[in-house]
Amino acid sequence: MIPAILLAADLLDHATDIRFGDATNEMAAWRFEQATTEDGAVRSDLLRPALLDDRDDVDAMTFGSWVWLLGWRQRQGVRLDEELLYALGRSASSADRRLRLRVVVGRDRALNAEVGSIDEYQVDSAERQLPSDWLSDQVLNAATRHADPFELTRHLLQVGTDLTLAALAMLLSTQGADQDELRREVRRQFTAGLEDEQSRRWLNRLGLG
Amino acid sequence: MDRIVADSTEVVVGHPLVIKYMPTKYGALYKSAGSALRISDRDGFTWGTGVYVTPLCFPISTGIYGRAGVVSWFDASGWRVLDCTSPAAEALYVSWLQHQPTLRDVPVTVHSDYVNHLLRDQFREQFRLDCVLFHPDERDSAGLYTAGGDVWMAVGDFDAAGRLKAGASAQFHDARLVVVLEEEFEVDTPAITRSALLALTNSRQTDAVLSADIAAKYSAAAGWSRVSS
Repeated sequence: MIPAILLAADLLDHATDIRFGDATNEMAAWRFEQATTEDGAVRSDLLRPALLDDRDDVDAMTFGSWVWLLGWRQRQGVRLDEELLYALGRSASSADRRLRLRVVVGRDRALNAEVGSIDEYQVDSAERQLPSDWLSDQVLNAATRHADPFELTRHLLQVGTDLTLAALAMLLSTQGADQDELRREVRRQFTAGLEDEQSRRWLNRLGLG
Repeated sequence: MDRIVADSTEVVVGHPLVIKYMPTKYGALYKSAGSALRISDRDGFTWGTGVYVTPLCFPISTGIYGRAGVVSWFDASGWRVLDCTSPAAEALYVSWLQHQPTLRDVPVTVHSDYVNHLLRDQFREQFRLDCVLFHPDERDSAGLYTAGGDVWMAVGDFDAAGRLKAGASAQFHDARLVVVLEEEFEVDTPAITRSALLALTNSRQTDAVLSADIAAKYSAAAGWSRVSS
């Protein structure tokens, strides 16, 4: 376990637990940023590419604290720690928690840059890989009914970035028990109430054109 | 927005002023100038991620949130503002919501706070709304501080990619503790009102008089405006 995590845990808990109240949350976040600005050693520890020695280390902080820390690291330009995502995924037992993780990943600037524009993304190419193993596994789990593919579809559409649309295209192109129904559902969403041209563009983006 | 800017502009500073109330221990951090207002980024805020302030023309409207009133100036030129004190503007958001894939998660799960927060942020990002104006959704139980017609502001800071930022806000300048309220409040059950603990008065103070005094103290960068209960 990285010592800086143990030092930061209480502050991050105060920054994220709503039971402490708005003012305490905001001031704890402020103090965290002050502390990481003033103490270079703590800062560089918290910006390490990998935060966990072991997946059980994730128990050192609350789910909300980890997600907040991931957001802070993203703002500092650090690449997402995929091992941490897998560890947090184990405790993502509610749709709310799964959505939080998918938002963190789906809005990541570096990962989106790797995908580029969804309009130029070759969704039907077998060689295309998502830049996040964690997100690829989310797709695979949904395609094989180890996770709810309809929930994942809603979440990917809601985040609506190039990365999550690429992930949705992958999910829709994968063979699986629910895929026909999924494709019908997505096709219905992008034909009802849309102009033909808009509808065609969206279906092409998702490989359903 | 134009009316708020006009009614909250201090002539010496030359810009409109806002006020943010907070608990005393945090207000003390603003005794000298130089500290930035913080962006609230956790779930549960009315319009998502942003700085929540009131224009100075409503000087004690958010006094229910703490005894320390921190005053700051802002420049709204170029801002895109959604005035949700108008039902028509509010209806735009409700209409947009109908098309959101995760909307169904709001009424059918207990975890609606985060989805609501996400939707509000995405709406503001999609339309690049710097500021949302809205009427208070919380008030003091006696109605001596917060009036239903008051206007509160949620102001966002955007990064280069058009995403709402967290951390210190660059939209507000020269934040400084200027107001000290005598009164303190505690949350009632249910938590849509707050009750005064001292309750030494039963009359509402005059906003214009208080605003002028606060603005004068702020522009002089000296002294505190003490507001009695």
